[in-house]
Amino acid sequence: MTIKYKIRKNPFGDSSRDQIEKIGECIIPRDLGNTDYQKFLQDVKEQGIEIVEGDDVITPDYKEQRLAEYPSLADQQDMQYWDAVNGTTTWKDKINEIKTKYPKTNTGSTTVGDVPSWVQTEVNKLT
Amino acid sequence: MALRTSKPTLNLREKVSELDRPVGNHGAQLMRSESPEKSFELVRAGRKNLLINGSCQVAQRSTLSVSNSNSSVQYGGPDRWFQYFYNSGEQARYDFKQTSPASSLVEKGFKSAMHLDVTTADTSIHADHSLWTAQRIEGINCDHLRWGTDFAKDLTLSFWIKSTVPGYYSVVLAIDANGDNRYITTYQVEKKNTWEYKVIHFPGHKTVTIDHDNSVGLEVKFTWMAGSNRVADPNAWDTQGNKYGASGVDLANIFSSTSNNIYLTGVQLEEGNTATPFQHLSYGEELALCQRYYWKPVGTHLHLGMWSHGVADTSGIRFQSYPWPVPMRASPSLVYDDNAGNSSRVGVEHPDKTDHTNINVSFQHTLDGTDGGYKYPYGISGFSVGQSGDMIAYNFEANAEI
Repeated sequence: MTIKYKIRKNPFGDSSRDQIEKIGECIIPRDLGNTDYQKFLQDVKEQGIEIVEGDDVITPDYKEQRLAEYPSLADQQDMQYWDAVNGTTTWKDKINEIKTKYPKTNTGSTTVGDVPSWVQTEVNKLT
Repeated sequence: MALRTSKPTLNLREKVSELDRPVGNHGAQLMRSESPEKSFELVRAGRKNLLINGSCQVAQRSTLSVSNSNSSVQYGGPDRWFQYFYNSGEQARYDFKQTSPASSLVEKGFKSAMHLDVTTADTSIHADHSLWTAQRIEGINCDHLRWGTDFAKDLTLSFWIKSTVPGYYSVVLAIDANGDNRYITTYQVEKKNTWEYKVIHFPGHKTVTIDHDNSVGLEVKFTWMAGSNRVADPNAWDTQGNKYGASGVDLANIFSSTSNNIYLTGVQLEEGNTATPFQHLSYGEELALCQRYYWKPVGTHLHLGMWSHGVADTSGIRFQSYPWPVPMRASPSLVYDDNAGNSSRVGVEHPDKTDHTNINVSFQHTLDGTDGGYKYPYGISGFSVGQSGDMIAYNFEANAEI
């Protein structure tokens, strides 16, 4: 079955603002007044959920993962100051912990997620 | 003492004849009107055309070369007018475009017309085939017609037409897009390649209501093809099934030759039983009315500022909010590309001034505009938090047609 549509999930969790990419054509909002959205639901009803795929699930590479957990530069400077005053290794330990947690072997990947349940729910509402 | 009095001569016959003013039929109607409302209706003051772009002066899209994509509306040429192929087997093809009419019509006030230019002939119409040019009117704009009540208002359709093929043609008024309630009627093009003015009357429907919403309320169809299984008795409201043409007459076949053309303009659908002069709007007014359903930037691309910032546990990209020219009928479908062959992707100019393509962002748009879109999580490689750049959606179109 050829994939015709791809769901683009709202990353902040508001599924009412999910969008549908009609592959190679356009971006369709989840709005029952939109005729492309009506056609999307009708197509799924007639051709099956197999014509839809879920959004990409991105696993970031080690750079993105580390960047997300490093303390801010201001906090790091604060750590370095107190390490110098107290003779501790708090800053080095924190950075090392993050580097160890996300090794360079984490090259990142993109997989296809599940089709959200609202798609079938909305299709089932069609008469 | 004698008192002399005199009185002016009064000729009663003369006075009565003065009352017989040279008043025409319409003037007499006005004089007989018993209320401002009645006078207003007689004069037809105010905006009266239920159709948009009846004079075809707005054409944001380029010429449409139709396909036989059945059950799909096909837009192109003058705004708001679409083509519809009932079946997937129709052989006919044509270009639908905006064109300038001959001076004979310019003298009547029209500088543009819709032009159906046959490119593939269909000399033997299949019984099941049908196709038409149509416009849909939102239900929310039909409240004043009072349909579904005893006070339902009649409608009058008027238009200018020029055709290579004289003969009978069908025109249909339908209630909502998929409903079966249709009034099918005919008009005759009498002379080849001559502009003719046509007036069609539709009685108001007293039992079927039009929903007050942004979906289809009424649809006017100019049927160009209707095979023998696609015609029904004309001139009455009926649940017509899949009938789009009139029976009882030999319908003209505009698709008999690739040399054939049809031109149409000055299309007006108004309340009442009189075809009044066409209501000309300024280009700006007409464009704004069309943009409720479709718009695209004049420069073809949408250019928005974007910046990187921290979001939750990672970084992200936000870009500026941007209102559409007018609120649209519904949240529109968006068409755009990155100018590198990637549909639904944008181009980005990085802070270091390098250009990148195939970037997937979300506009998070509504019927009002983009609500400040984003790329999240993880932003765009090369952007540090706080840096800004430019996002360009090429060949941008927002489509909320019915």
